[in-house]
Amino acid sequence: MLCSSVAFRDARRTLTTTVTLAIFSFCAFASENTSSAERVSRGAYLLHAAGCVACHTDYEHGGTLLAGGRALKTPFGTFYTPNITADPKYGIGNWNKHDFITAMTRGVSPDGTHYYPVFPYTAYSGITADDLSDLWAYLRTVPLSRAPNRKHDVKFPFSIRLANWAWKLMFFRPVTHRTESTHSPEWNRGSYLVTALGHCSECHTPRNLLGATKSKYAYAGTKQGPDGEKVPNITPDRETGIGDWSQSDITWLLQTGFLPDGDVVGSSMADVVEHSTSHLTVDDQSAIAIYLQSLIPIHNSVQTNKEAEQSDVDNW
Amino acid sequence: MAAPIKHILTAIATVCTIISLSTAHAADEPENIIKFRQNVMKGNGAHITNIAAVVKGQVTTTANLAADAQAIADGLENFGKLFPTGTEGGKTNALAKVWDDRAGFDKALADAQDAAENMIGAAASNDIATIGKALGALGKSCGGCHKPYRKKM
Repeated sequence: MLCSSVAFRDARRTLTTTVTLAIFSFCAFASENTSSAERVSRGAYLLHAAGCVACHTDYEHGGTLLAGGRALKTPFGTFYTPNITADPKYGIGNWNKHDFITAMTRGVSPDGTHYYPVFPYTAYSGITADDLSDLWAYLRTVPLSRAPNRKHDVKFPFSIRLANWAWKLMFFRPVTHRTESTHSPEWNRGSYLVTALGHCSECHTPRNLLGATKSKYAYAGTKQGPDGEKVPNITPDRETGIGDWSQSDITWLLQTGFLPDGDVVGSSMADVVEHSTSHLTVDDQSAIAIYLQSLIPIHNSVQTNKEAEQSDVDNW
Repeated sequence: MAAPIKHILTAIATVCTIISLSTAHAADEPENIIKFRQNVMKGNGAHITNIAAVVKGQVTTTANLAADAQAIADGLENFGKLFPTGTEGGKTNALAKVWDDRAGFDKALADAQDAAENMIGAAASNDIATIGKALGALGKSCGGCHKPYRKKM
């Protein structure tokens, strides 16, 4: 009862907000158009930095850019990314900038649905207002796709959408990115790229039973990553992490996908390199490396021959 | 007299059996082929690391580039033969898809062979930018096999 009345109230409020904002955005859109070229090109860069392309494009099945449909297998079920082209029916063409910012930073869709945290709004909440505006400007220019969204195939009780609302109460604290004056500008840029835009932690940090990242083990890797992959420890621990990598080893991987031993990253990281990190400027790639090398080393072995054995910090 | 002869014959037969069994097992045991192909890949990794060191400017000697590039191409030339049926189990990171989708695997390998040939040409140019570009393309072609046909690591 309580749940349904909350849902109803939410829905009514959202409807009112949507109508009001639709009128506003129509006016705003007309005046915004003037300085848009630069915003669009910045937005295109940010799209790569934020890793939107690899998840929202189903490259494996020849999907259209940002038309969604890529399957993400997780311990909670399989998620299918949605179409985020500007198609009014199948994509997010009916959204306005406010809708977009709310979705990105609060994890709520214009109709009031709470997103699963597989969509990294937890990290994106730290993206600056300017960058969000530019991303939105770019998304308006993407060719439309009429690919329909596919329903997530999620296990009970995670299949109850309202559970996401409860999840947020428990685990979601929106981030505001602040410049730390004790660190260099490069470090601060790296911190922003890694924690907010790049959302590296979403895969490289182990999660608890309810799917929240364990901040205590940030970037220490997990054996239970998306698609059942092992995700490496990227803290500077010498034995189990990347403590013996040089800064250029890290930037080299981000540029080319090559590991220091000449092997290549062959898992989801291959997509991340191809569609995200290799598109970044050398300065940004270096900033990421500087930040990663400053992390607290955590001893957590993810690579082991004993397939069944779980690492210290995975607990399902 | 009969008993010692019988013993000697039994001994000879046993020895022959052991020899024949052990020789049959010594050649082309799946585990040996798996180790072999893994070593070829380790070698490729070492050659790629050397070329990368030059591209990154960590080492200025370019004298080894041609040999490294050639070795990668040689290593890949017969690499497909190291995946016969029977080598899909055991201590391997190769996925069953190698054998289930052999045509796709062979195509990806052929692309890598082309990229390795291209690397030989680039190495001869002595131009770091060209070499870097060829190495990038080679890396992408490695992913052509490692992404779909290798266990996620």
